[in-house]
Amino acid sequence: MNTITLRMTENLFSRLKTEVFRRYPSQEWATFIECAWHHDPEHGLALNVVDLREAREGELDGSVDHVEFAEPYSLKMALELEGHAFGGGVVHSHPQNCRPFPSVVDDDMDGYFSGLFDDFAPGRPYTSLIFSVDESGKFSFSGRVWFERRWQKVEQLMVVGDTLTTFMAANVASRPLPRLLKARLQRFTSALGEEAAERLWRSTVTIGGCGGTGSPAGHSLARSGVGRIILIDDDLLAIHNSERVHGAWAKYFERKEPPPKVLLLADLIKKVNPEIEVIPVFGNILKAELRGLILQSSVILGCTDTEHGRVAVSELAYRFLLPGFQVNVSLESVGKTLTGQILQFTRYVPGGACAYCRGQVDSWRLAVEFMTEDEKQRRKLDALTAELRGESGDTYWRNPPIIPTTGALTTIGGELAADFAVGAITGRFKPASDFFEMNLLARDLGVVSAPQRPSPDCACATVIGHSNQASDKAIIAAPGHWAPSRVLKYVSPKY
Amino acid sequence: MTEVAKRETELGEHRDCETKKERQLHIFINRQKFNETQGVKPLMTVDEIAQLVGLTAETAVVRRSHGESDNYGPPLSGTIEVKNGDQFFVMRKNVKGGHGSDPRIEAELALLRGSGQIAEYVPGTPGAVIYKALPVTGQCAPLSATDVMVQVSAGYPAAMLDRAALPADSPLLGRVKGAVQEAIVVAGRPWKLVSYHPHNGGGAEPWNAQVHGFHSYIREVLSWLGDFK
Repeated sequence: MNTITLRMTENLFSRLKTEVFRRYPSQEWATFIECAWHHDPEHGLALNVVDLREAREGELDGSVDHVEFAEPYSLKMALELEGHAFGGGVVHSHPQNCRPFPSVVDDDMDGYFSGLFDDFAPGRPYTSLIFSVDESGKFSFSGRVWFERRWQKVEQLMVVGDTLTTFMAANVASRPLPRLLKARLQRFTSALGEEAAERLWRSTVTIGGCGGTGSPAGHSLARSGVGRIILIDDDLLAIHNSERVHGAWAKYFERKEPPPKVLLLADLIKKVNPEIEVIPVFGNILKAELRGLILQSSVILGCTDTEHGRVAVSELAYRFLLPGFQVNVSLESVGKTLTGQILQFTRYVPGGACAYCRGQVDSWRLAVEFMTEDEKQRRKLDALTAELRGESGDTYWRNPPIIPTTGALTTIGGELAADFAVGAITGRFKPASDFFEMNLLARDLGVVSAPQRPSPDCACATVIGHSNQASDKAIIAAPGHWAPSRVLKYVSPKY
Repeated sequence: MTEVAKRETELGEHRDCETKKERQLHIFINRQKFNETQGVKPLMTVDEIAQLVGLTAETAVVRRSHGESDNYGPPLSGTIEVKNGDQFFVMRKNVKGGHGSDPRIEAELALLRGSGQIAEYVPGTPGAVIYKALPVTGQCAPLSATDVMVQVSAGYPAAMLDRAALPADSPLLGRVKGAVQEAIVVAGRPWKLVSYHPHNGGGAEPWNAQVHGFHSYIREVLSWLGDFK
């Protein structure tokens, strides 16, 4: 069966454990849950637990050791499902040291509830999770989802918040760390531990933008032992990229047709470690057909200098519970003197402020990024006409600013993003702030750190984890004239 | 008959058929439609309504919906008048989940279910199996059927199954073989254990873990129920 990644916020996970372990260690307990989801036929399901519907007095039988739902609780939950668009489900505990694998009794329970909830809310996934803890306190779980008339296994549970914790399902075999990689990561594991290396090897990272920032990020993640890397960019290599793009070997510029940047980076990653699975995509992270693929990731790195890239990474964090790290760099100068090498870093997590709440979005630049060439030309002409009339042409067109950078600065930015991604995936460290900016040329690096809370009415506060069920609150989508994305086949190039 | 007239007759019959279907008495259970063809009739027992969704009056709670999602009546009983478009909610009284017994007991109960006997495992320390509605044979039986509870012995299956329990208010207590022993609560119900030892000189073959289990113990229990004073 297809495997699924399930996500929930730290707060919800804490609430869930408190509820189902309330009679631990020998007695079980349960709660109904509500889940949002994204589905596409190619990449399957990505689920988010968005709420619990805990039992009230008498709704679960407290006189028995096992779980027993009374009719009023079942009826209440079935009717609740009619009031919104989420799927229903159950989480229950198995006693201490008992494997969290479904029993025959659980099979009967899940068979009943999946059918009952489908009567009231047809076509939605039914999710069943089992939690248990052993005597050393180690948490384990298993999960399955009834969707499209078949059971699908939950492979991993990601708990997302200030930290990122990933649990692999107890009934899913994990990918062992290759022997050669263990040897190569000796210094890494002596600092962060072997479990950290295993987590990285099991993880997937998406890199949006494979230019000056994304290419060193990908290079660094490959060396750190990330097992699967998705590369997304819709640009071809140009001669002026050679100063910034890692993997832009001279031989590429001798070709008649420049290669896509994603293939350059794929080649670089494969040369570091051929066992890493690399998925190069010629496209844009906003494209709907890529969402299911991106949601297979633990984190996404925003490595473009576009406004829409930043907004996309920000929305993926709060609506889909996919944490993102956005890095931007720029140079400042006064006359011929460089006065600033600016690095700006933002961590987007559910519950944190989005790009709009942080005031990070230049809406004019964003609009220009979405315009067709025809519209740009028309606007420029309108601006010229206005100026000839003696009016300001700015209403019609302003040239978007070009952001100057150097390869050294973009490399630092990319490595920074990769480093914080490693910290998030391993759970070993995190940035002290969700946002900071520094100037490498300033005294004390001129670090500015600006905590920002979400506006209470903003979607980043109201639709956390609501996935496709909050499509009416989507703030950005790829324009219709953008070409469809394509997954490219990586073949080791002959130089 | 001309082709046109023939076609008109066919269409008319089809319309009559469709109108007849629409005129059929129909109800909704858990938002699913059921009509006369499926067993809906103007007077139905609660058991008949429950059976439409694979349950019984014993295992389900049947309520009438009053239209709004949170507006529904108390549990129904007996026979009720059914009108066109009536909405009902029929849910299992209890839905069990949990770690359950070990796979061996589950397999034995599955064998029993396969032959039509309902047996329920109740997790606990110790766990227990409740055989549901076992027939009480014999002349002048005080009741036609009864539930019987058998505890999972410590060390099962190496340790033999032993004793059996009847509901605490059962008229069979004191009449079936074996002294009435301690009271115990299992699955929320009070029971009384009876000193019945079929595999320990009680008439059945010596316990053999390779052969015996809950799927075979039922035979001893049935024999015990049929042999009352």
